Parts: sequence; C-alpha cells; structure tokens
Amino acid sequence: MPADGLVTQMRKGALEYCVLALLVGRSRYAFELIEGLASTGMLTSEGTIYPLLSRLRRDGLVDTEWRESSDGPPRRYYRLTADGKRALRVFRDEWAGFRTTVDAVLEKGGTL
Amino acid sequence: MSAPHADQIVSGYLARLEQALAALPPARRAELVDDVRSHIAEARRGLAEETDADLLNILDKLGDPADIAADARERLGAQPAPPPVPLGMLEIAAIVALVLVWPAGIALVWLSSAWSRRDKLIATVVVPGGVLVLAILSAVGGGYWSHWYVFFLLLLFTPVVWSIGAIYLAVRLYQARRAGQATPDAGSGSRLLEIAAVVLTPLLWPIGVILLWTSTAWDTRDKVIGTLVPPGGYFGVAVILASLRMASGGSCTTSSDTFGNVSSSCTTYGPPRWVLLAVTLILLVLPLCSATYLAVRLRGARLLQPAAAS
Repeated sequence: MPADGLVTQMRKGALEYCVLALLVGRSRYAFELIEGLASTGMLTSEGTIYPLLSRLRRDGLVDTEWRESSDGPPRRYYRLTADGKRALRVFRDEWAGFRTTVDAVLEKGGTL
Repeated sequence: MSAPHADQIVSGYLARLEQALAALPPARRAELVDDVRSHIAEARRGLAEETDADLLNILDKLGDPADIAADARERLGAQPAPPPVPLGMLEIAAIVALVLVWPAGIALVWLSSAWSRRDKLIATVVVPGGVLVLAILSAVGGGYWSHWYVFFLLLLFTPVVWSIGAIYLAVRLYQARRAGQATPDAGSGSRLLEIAAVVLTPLLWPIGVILLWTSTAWDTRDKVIGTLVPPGGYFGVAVILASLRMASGGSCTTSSDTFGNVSSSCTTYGPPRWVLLAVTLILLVLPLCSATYLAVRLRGARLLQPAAAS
C-alpha cells in the first residue's frame, strides 16, 4: 500500500519537530524525550531517537550539555538553540496551513 | 544486582549496533553507540531486581540495530562505506621500486588500486618532466652547459622546484576535495583541466599556468604560488648563469714573454667523476619526491577511512 511509505515518511519528518517542541522552555535528556513521545506512537523503536538527536545537533537546532544526575553518571541534556526555535516556528505555521488545506479537501470529498 | 547474562547481552547488542553503523563516519558512530550505551544503563537503573528478560525487553524497545542504523543513514545522510584503500606488498614494493628502479616502480604504481589515476599520472610525469626541462635548459644554456657546476645547479634548481610546485598544487586540490569545498565549476567534467594543469606545470610551464588560472579548483593564493614558484626556479637559474658569465668560466692566464708576444692559455673544467655521482644522486632524489608524495597521499586516503571497520 503506497500510503504506508508516505505515512512513515511524514511521521519521521514531523518527529524532529515534535522533539523540538518538547524542548521548548526546558532542556531534557534523551530518556525524558522518549517518555514524552511514548504515548504518541511516533517513535517506533526508542533507539531511533539517537540518530534524530544527532541530526538536530549537527544542524545546529539543538545544543547539548552534560549535567550531573543524583543517581548515576552525568546525563547529556538537549536544549533548543535560536535556530531551533526559528525552525519550530516556521514548521508550526506551515503545518497549520497544510493541515487546514488537506482537511478541507478531504472533507469536500465526503466519506467513503 | 545484574542479570546473570547482562554483560553478554548488552555487549552483544552494542557490537551488532556498531557493525550496523559501519557506513557512518567514526565520530558519529562512536557518539551513537555511546548514546545507546547510556540509554541501556539508564533503563537498568530503574529496575529493582533485573533479570535477563528485563534486559531483553529494554533492547527490544530500543529496536533492532539494523533499524537504528537504517534510520541513522537516512537522517545523517551517510554514504555506503567506500572500499578500503589497500596497503599491501604491492604498494610497499611500488614505493621502494620507485626510488631504486624508477620504471619498475611506475609499473607497480599503475598496477595498484590504492592511488587514483590522477596520483598515478602525477607520479609518472613529475620525474620525466623535470628531466625534460633540464634538457631544454641545457640547449638554451649553450656554452655554459660545459661547466659541471652549472649542470649541477640546473639540476638542483629547476626540476626539484618545479616538482614541488606540482606537488603543492596536487596536495591543495586534494585538501579542497577532502573538505568538500570544490566550487560548482570544478565538477567531474573539468577534472581533466586540473590534471592537465598539474601535469603541465612541471612539463610546459606557460601552458600549465594558463590552465591553472582557467581552473576554479584552486583559490587565488594557490594560483599565485603555483605561478610564482616555477619562475622562482627560472630566476635562480638566471642568477647563476649571470654570475657565471661574470666569473667567466675556466681560468685563463695571459702572459707576455720578453719579446712582447702575448700568449693566453685557458683551462676549462671538465666534469670530475664525482659530478656524475652527484647527478645520479639528484636523479634519485626526484623519484624520492614523487614516492614520498604517493606515500603521503596513501596515508591521507587511509585516514579518511572509518577506523577499524569491524
């Protein structure tokens, strides 16, 4: 079914911005991000958050900082950069417009 | 309390992940493996009494290493791992033979797959190029050729200096390509231009320099250096020729006898036997230059490989 691939790609693309959204106002470490995304079902396997975070860091949308934890070794915390905030803002606007347009067309088509 | 087989389970998983990530640059791969290792440690901390099954559940939720690697390749845009650059008997023999028996060395260089065609071409052309230039200069130099030390200095100045210019340009081109900063015009179509510029700079300097300035692969600083270094060689030769003209080759003694007859006798220097030895040495230095260049290139190419592909 061709829509499967499309949905997977959409989910993958949107996931980056969901992670950015989770970082608004507060730095988090990877485990918290995984918990935050668990209920959405967007993260099919937890391990894939790490390539995603690596990518966000490479693109300068997040930066990282090691912090001591009370019960174990230090944790790497992720924090939104100015570029990350800008990217998230642009995506929010785009997404809102996209969703409205697609919804309108889908509803016009009526139910199957 | 650790699960009975905790170490085997975790290290086995991390080893599979590392292997699956082989296509990524070593630094990225190490970072991802570290991240996953911390993830597992973090997840284990939440367990009061862990069992093997708990560990397997943690790894299940993390996902198949192959899936994580596929995601990493997609997100991080890694190319499939390039074939490793060989460093076997052939390459070592080629470098050694290049110094000792130049034609055999060149033959071995072309047999090896460790160098690019461009590198092979440069290594092949640099030495004959230097010798050719020498021959041209000797024809132009005319009478001064008879002085062994002019011959010696010509040998010292021109081919070595010109070869250095070519090597410098080649290394710069390599660095630019490695940094991925090649300008749009320097695509595969114009690569021939760069090869020609590098090859012709030691051979036919004016043509080489024209091609050099036509190419967009080098920046202006490189082009200026590439242009000035060979005339530096010219200049050195010119200075030597001029100073020799003043010193006037050979020693002439003019004597007048008691009858007023003026007789002059001149002795010209024939090249002593050790000059031949020096010339031979210089001719050995030139192949050494290109051999060193090839060795440096080979090492550079190996450094670009992901470390210790498992």
